[in-house]
Amino acid sequence: MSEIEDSLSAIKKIEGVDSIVLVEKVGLAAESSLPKDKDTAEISAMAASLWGLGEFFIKRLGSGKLECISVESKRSKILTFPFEGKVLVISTKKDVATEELNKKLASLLSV
Amino acid sequence: MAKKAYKLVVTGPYWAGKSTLVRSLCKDSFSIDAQGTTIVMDYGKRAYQEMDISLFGTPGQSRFNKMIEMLGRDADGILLVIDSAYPETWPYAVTMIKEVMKAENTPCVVCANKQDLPKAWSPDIVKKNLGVLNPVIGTVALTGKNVETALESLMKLIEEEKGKEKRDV
Repeated sequence: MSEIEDSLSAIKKIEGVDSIVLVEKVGLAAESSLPKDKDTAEISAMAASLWGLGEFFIKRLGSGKLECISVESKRSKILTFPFEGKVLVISTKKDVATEELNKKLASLLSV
Repeated sequence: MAKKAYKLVVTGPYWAGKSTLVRSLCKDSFSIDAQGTTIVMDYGKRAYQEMDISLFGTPGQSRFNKMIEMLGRDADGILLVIDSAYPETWPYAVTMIKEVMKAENTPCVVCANKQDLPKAWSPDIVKKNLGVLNPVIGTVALTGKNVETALESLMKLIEEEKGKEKRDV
């Protein structure tokens, strides 16, 4: 298994992480070893839309490259990151161990 | 006195020319896309007579249906753009209005776009095949041909609809 696949599966194993999807920016699920289910197509389309909007926002109203979009509710949290020209979507419980997740993410995003 | 503001939605199947139509109607516009396909929306604003118009172009692919539904909310009118040379996509165009946007009764004008292509079907044939009563205008969004006519036609329908609503109150 490659280092990337290794890190992705390590993130998937963190307690509180519900799902993880790698998305092409045109809104399709990217080829990866991650499991796909009935929601993957919808998640991919929504994540691409969200990311497109985020990039547009940063370009028009901020500066620099977009690094993360976080969407939170009382119970859950959805994090999106740029990854290999794609978008990595991680859906977690709100109380997930953020430190562990951040550490794993840092190692993944630095690959 | 504040100007009246209208929200118009430009929708239709993939690659029908929606973004081009928005650009053609509005000098002031932007598109949020990836690799040439709209993934969020097109947006343009302009004045029309004494009114302010905001045009929202939707993505065209079915996987973005949630986005289409969201953009379609509370639209005053719809420009349905279809590729006149690609009849295979026409049934989906009707579905987009009825099922995705749930806006069957919203004033709507069909732009039978790409009339410049040799295989383009005429607006009359498009209308017959779509099975709709809405006005169908032959357009070429790329050159701007008839796009103003389509907008005028839609604005007229909207004004008629608003007049009817006032009378019903």
